[in-house]
Amino acid sequence: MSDVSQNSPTGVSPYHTVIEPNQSWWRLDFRSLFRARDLIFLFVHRDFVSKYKQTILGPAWFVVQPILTTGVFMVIQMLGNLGSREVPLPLYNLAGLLAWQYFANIVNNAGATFANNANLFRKVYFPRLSVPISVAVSQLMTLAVQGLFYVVVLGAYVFLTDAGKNINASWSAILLLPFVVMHIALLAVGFAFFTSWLTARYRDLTFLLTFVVQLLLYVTPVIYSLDAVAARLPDGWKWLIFANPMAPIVEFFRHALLGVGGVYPVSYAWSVGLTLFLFLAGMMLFQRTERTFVDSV
Amino acid sequence: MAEPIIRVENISKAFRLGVLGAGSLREDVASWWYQMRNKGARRELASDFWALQDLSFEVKPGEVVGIVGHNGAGKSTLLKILSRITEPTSGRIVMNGRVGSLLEVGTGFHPELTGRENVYLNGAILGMSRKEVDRKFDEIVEFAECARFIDTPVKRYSSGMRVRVAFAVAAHLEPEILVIDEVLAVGDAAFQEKCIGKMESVAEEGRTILFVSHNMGTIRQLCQRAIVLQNGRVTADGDASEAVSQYLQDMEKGVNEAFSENNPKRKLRGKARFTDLLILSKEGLPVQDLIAGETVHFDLSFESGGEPIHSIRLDIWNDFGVVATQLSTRFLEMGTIDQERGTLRFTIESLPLTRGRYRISAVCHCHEDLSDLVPNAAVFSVSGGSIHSSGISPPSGRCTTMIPFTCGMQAVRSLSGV
Repeated sequence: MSDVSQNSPTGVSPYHTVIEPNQSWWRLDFRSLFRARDLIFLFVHRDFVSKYKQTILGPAWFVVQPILTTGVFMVIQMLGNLGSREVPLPLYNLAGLLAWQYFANIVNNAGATFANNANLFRKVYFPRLSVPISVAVSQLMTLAVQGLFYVVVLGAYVFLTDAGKNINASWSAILLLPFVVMHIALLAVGFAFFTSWLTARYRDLTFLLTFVVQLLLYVTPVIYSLDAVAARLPDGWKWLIFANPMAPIVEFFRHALLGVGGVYPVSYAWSVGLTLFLFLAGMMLFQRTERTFVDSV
Repeated sequence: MAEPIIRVENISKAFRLGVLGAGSLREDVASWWYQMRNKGARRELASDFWALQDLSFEVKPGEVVGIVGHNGAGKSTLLKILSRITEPTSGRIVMNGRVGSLLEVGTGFHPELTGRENVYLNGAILGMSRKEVDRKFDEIVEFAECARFIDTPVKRYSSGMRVRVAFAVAAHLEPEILVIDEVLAVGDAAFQEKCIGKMESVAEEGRTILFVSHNMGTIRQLCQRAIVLQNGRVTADGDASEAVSQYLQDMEKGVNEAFSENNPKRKLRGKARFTDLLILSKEGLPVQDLIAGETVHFDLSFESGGEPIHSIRLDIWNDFGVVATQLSTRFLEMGTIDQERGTLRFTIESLPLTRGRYRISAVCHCHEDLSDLVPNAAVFSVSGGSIHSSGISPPSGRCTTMIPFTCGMQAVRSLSGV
């Protein structure tokens, strides 16, 4: 499609714009968001290139991070008698981390969209939504590399050790994973909408963001399994762990890739509902913030 | 006549000053705590500052319109609203065409990316599609004169080169409406000339340009029409030269009360202050109309208020909004002035200014801090003359000052050397 419109002076240009104060709760400029797809792609490209230029390992950092995290987790798991008995711990951790890291990376990178891009937003208009969207897309690449790495590690276990016989990957569940990944993206972006709104108002909270994501990791069954913790909680408090929208997602990942961990339909339905709510309400806050945010910088 | 391409209808914009929720979490908590203790009294008085008030104008396709005004007159706010960076508080703007806005050169440049990657990224940020950049890429590189370095990361570019690339991208944006803020104040003179040339050619292609500048010369050169903003309102709208002259006259109007404490443009920050400025001819008579090449005295009276004054400076502004020259006690190493009150006489033996109107602002610093700044403390005009014995002076439109020089024929040097 060509974007160049040589409109006659009297005709209505496809770029006809009306600028007026808008107090409505919901107004999104989908037309310019669609036009910004090249921009989204270039943001993804920028993030990728700028992050790994002048580093020794380059994109290998994508897998170094989960390897190190897995190591730390294994220490915690041995000390706390957590984790799985059935499958090798590295696989167990890597599978959970796939889902968790995608969520955490999006929130960390898009969670302060306004505060971090203030200088850019003050000088030029483009659909602001393209920033969190581009983050979700570029983290998808990280996820892909980590997924590939997972397959390699899995292959090593299956062909080189006899631990493979305990691994019952569920093919039907694996086919559903792309949808689950989309679910994570919506949830994380929705969460990032909220924190972007908060950090636009209070810059101080930007510093808290990574810390909050860290804390969320510990209340999500990544290091431990949902069952293990549910068993240790008193009856009246079990719902707490299921209320976390990331909990059934991480469990589903391990269920699909390793055959451990359960599928919790009620918890999952709750998670989907909460995701939709976060995403829509967050987007509403986001677009309200974007319209006059620069006045308060 | 054609339909207007931009219609601005009663635009107003208010900024909140000192209202709850304007600052950081700490401030908000402090306000909340204050409210709790004082039973609901507001911590600060809610006051709205109206940056723009009821602004209306229309722009026809192909017009090049300059927007002129003091700092704080609302120019930047207007440009921000036109480029959709922020919204108006009330009113409405209808624009019938693609808007490209250039409030800064090189917005979004990433130092790690190569020149080529940045051209694409910057183009996309400004609203170009990939295909458009593809099509114009060679032109952009040629305009920026950077073909050799196009695949080098931008962080290795000189700042001049970076600006050239950035402007080249922006110049090849092809919107129907181009909104530009003072970006020509970058780069070396030759490149500036090139940029103005590019803008002229853009205008000739029939595109509409809104252009903000402090440089009245550029406004006169580029624009047919100018809109003068003052305190958020349109005070003049019409032929560029007329509007610019009117704007400059308005600035001079303030001269009579320049030393008044109520002068809103005066920045009286410390105890030391100016009380008067007189322009005197070599005979010691007050004058307003000067001749280049003749002696002139500026008699500046001050009160120190007990503070030692570290420097006193006169800025001589010309019609283009440029400081033609500065006279400062620091240049003469006069040291601290401890006198309670007095009159300093600055003397220029041979006035080197070209024909035109000039405004003087007086600035005084105690330690490093600004103590008093009186803009438009006095105005004068130079109606002719020259520092050169011929009486010939350089053209005033292109040249602000003259300097003494000599020129003579040298004996022919032999090429065989010493």
